[in-house]
Amino acid sequence: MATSYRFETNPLARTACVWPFLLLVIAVAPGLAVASDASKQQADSSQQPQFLRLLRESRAPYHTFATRFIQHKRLAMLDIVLESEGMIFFRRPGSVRYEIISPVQSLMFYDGKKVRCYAFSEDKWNLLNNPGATAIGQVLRQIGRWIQGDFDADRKMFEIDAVPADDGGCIHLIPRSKALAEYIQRVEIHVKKVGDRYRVAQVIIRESDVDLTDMRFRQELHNQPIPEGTFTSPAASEACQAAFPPEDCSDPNEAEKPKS
Amino acid sequence: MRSTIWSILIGLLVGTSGCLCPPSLGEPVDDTARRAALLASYQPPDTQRVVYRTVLRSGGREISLVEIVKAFPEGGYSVAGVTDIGNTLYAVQIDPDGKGRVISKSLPFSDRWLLDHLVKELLIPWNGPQETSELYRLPDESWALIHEEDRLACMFVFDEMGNWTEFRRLAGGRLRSRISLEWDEGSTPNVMRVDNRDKHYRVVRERVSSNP
Repeated sequence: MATSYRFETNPLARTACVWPFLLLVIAVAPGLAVASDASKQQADSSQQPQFLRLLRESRAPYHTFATRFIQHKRLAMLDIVLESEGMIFFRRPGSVRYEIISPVQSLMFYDGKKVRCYAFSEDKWNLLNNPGATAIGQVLRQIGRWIQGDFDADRKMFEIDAVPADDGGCIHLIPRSKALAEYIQRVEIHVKKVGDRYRVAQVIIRESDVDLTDMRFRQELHNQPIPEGTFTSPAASEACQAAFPPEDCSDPNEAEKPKS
Repeated sequence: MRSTIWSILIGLLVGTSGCLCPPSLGEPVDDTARRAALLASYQPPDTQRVVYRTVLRSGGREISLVEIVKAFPEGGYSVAGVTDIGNTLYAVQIDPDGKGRVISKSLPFSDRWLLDHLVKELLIPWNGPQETSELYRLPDESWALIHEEDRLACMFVFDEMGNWTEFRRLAGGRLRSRISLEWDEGSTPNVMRVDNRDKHYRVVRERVSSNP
């Protein structure tokens, strides 16, 4: 571990030094960069820009967006997989609500400029003065870009290997810097093609050979009404969850919305 | 005359600040039956894995995370802290002999800070009073079992009903850290509140799940 920060009395004072690296990776898809020589060998380079362009064009008509996700965090040392569930709401040009709803509740808002982080603890939502707020803001901005299919940002951080397939494709992000590579070996973004639309179905963040975070997205809503307070209020959590139709709907965008 | 007044004033100031310290505990209480009962009332957690929701506050900053403790039948623990969005903040291994080592960390905690404070406090439910502990009666009528460890007094405070409600670490009579414990049906506390005055941080841990 190259990290050499040491302090004893105020452990949170310097967290911002590392958080940008970690959190930017969570933004995953936005961090695409140009292909490396190695990655070019794995995919037809002429197809990569087309694949990314199709993905971007497919997202262009969406002004609002919402999705549920299930996240599995595998920690080999503890021989466990931690499962959490959450949802993401987005409204152009850059409002994001990123909420974990179980087994613990936490929430992040981004309005294009500022970030607010909340944790549900001791029976109430607590606004946190999070030392990583700036980095989290970058992450949420990146999530917004990803939702829009904008994979041009932060090319400096990752090399890209885009591998198109008949049913979608996969985008590999490989950290350029050694510092980042110490925390993240690779990010895989699995894109699924449904009809003429593309959507990100799964993101895998490989921290090491054995530890990874696997996010699977489902019930993607496009241009659907966004509940009041979605981008400002923790109290909108229930309304946001109710915005999603029952799981058994084949197309959540065609489902009849539950009356709130 | 003036020097005498100053001496008195300084004495008063010292006395005032001394009030922040725990009052003298006096001599141990020679009550073998009660001491044995309190020792017996402590039961190590019978769970193999516990997950806590943690909010850490220090220097006006706050972070939330999930902490996982895995206890091994042969002794020893694996402990990890993970952010809500999945980053591993730290991973620590504690051997059966109590020796700890940091496997990985992605926040600027020092190894010592992690092992001797954050993780040690998390593992308090597994590390109860020792057989050599001495019994004390506290001014508020509660009972305490105290043993010495690494030149610190480890105080386990029990209420009148014999429930373990608090853990304190003291050095030279000065309170270094305090952990209050709230219990429900489980064998691990459902809430632990840490006030670490030594390192100037507070932690609230709420149990999310536990597996036998």
